[in-house]
Amino acid sequence: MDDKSGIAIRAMLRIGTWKLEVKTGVYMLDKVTCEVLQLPYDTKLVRGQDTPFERPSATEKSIAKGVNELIKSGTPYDDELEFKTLKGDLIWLHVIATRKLENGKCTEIFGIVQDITKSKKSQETFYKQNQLLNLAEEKAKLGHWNWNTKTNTFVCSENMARMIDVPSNIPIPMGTLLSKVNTEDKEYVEKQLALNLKNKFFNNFTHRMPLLDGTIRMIQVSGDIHLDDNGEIINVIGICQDITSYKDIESELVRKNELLSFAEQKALLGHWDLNAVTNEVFWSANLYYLFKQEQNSKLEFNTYIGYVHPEDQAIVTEHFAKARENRRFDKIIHRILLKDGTIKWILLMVEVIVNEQDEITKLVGTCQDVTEQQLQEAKFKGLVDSAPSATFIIGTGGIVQMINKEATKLFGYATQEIIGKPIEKLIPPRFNEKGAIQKDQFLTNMKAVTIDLGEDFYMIHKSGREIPVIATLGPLQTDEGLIISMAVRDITSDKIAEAKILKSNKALEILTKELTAQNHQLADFTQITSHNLRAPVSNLNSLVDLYKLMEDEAERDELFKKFETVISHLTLTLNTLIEALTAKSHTSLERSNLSFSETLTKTKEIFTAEIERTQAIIKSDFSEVDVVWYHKIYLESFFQNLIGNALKYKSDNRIPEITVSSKITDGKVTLSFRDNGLGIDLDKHGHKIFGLNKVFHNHPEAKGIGLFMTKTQIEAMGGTITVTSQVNLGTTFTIHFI
Amino acid sequence: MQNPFHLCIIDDDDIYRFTIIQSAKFSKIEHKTSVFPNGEEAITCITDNLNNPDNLPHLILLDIDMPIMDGFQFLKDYQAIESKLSRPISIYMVSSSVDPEDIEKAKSYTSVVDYLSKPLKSDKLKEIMERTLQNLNV
Repeated sequence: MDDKSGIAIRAMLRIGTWKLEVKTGVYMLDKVTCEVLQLPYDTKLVRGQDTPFERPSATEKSIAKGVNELIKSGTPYDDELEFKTLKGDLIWLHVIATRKLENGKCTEIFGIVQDITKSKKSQETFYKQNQLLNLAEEKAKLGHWNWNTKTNTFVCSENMARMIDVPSNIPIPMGTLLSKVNTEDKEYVEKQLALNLKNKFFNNFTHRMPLLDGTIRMIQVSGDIHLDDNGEIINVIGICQDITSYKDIESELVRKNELLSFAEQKALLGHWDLNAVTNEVFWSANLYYLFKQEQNSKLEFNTYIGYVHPEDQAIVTEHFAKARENRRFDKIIHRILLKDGTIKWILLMVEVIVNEQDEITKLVGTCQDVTEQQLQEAKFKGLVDSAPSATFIIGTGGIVQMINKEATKLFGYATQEIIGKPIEKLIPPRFNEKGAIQKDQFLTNMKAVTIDLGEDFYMIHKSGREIPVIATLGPLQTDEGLIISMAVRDITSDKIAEAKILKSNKALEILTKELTAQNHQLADFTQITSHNLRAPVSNLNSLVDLYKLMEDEAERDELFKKFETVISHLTLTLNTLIEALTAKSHTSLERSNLSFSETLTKTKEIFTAEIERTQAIIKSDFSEVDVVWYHKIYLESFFQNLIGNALKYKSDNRIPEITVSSKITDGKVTLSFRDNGLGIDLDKHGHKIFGLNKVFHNHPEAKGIGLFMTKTQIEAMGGTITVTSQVNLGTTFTIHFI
Repeated sequence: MQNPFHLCIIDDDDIYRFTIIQSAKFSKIEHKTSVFPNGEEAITCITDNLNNPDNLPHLILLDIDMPIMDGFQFLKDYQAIESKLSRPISIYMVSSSVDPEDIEKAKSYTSVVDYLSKPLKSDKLKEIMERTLQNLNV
């Protein structure tokens, strides 16, 4: 070739020449070489000496070795070497060298360098991309292939080759490939491939493939058929993907979905979602079932609303509106009215899904058929309502959850005024302390118990009036915690009856006392009467007998005198008894305000002579009370009787001293007569003291009537008289006015 | 007579005492009488004459209702000294009371021979005196 044109061509191709004189070791580089190496023109390099440009060690070694070999044995040198130019650029050079022999000895090495940086780079890039592709294929469990339809051979990518265990990048007959396919699927695969060719269109298909370790993988085959201008197939390129795991996931999903459907069915659940942007609505299979809607019928959001019971529509629509506002949906129980007229209770819960801009993107809801629970609750409510006594259902914190009609009637509140409020609202605060203690006991024992606070228990009516009640508490453990049922019975009528009975009882007791007292009096009276009348009568009998026996006139005269005595005694006794009877029957004698001091003065006047004779001292003390509402005659009679007695039964050893005093004890007036006279032995005679004709001393004037009458009169007026005494010291009589 | 029948009347009713004394006269039994208006005086006298049989009565007609010490109170005291008596005494309780309680109470005292109710007829009195005499002679 003409060297000039050769040079021009070489320049175009960036091929440079160089020469190495073996003897001198000097390199001669041509223009292009220098350009390539970015060296100044006509640079001389010496073998063995450092070059002004950098050479990686691999390059150095290769050159050194290659040159040596060339010189020695003439082995041609052909290598691609990396250099760093003077300016610092990395270049790749294709270096070829040969030797020139002179007389059998190598005198010259000459060769060319070609700048292959670009192609090297693209080669590298290409290589890298290939690596990437391989990696991608590996990760994606992909493999690609190239099908030469004319030779019916396949060339498989690395990954594919690895997957199916064939050599990569060399044509493999279809038969070999097919042998990898699962036996049962072989025919199918063949058919598919044939079909694809026929149609000149690749339809994807899947087949199974057994691995060496025995596992079976699912392989999806997809591809592209390339046609030339005449519509003839050039080749087919495609990929095979191991979709086993996808298939597993898919079947897992299906299974889970089935489970979900099953669960929904059992739980009477259904779910739906609404895409807020597209307004697309999806209903789960069970939701269709619950709503008795045909599967796959057209759905909108309003389809749901359409099923809501007319009475509940307002609430439900409001709920949804609120949800759109607040981005939150509070669960709600509402009724639905199905096409066939069935009514069901649905518990609706909705999740509102928003995006970053706080716009609603989706609504996801579940609907649960809680008809059964509602019916149960209705039944429960019905039971509570029909309970014969006022009943409260109380939850945690003492909050009333339910009350029945009787309760509203008894306490005067409307249902909503009580529900949600604490039961304490109806209990007077004074019971709080004791009530808390009993509540704790109740909670510990968990047994039904009647509230017993040791006093009458009351609850408060709306009007503030207190109602006497008996309340019973019964515990019930539920999943939601402890609820207490409280039955309250109004015992107002019981209390009234109780009060009446108590009153009657008291009246009866008083009556009994009075009757007993009267009975005693009667008994005494009877005894007194029988004895005091019989004695004189028996005497008369005896005297009559004697009269019959006597003959002497003088004796008979004597006898007659005795008759007189007895008869007058009898008369006196009869009169006394009649007087006593009269006193007893006159229970409502006229009373007036009488003064003790005045009465005493009058009495003293009556006994003036006696007082003088005995030198008696009569003292009085009416400072506490001087007035009494009493019957005049009786009062005067007491004074005369008791003072008379005191004077009569004075002691011979001392001057009689009589003290009359009045006191108020427990709101009742008492009057005392104390003397220092003979005294009475109460042990011996105490029980006879107020009897008729009981005389304890041999006193000529002792007739024994006075005290009997006094007692009778006092008791007729409703009072009592008592006596204390000590022999030879004195006696005290005390009258208790009522 | 050495030891005439000694009749003792313990009663506060003087008319009754008179009738008994007169009745006793009609019995034609020789006797002497002593009277006491109440139990206290009677027991005092008996106590004083425990060892003096001549002064002790053979027969006592004892009333119940007497002041200071009544018939039952007398009996109580009497029983305390009964064993010391030099001669036993027959005691008849006489009363106008027909209260069964009194009758029973009287009969419960061993010292009481019998309970008689007033009026005591003269023939009854005679009968008692004769009986007592008989017991004495046995």
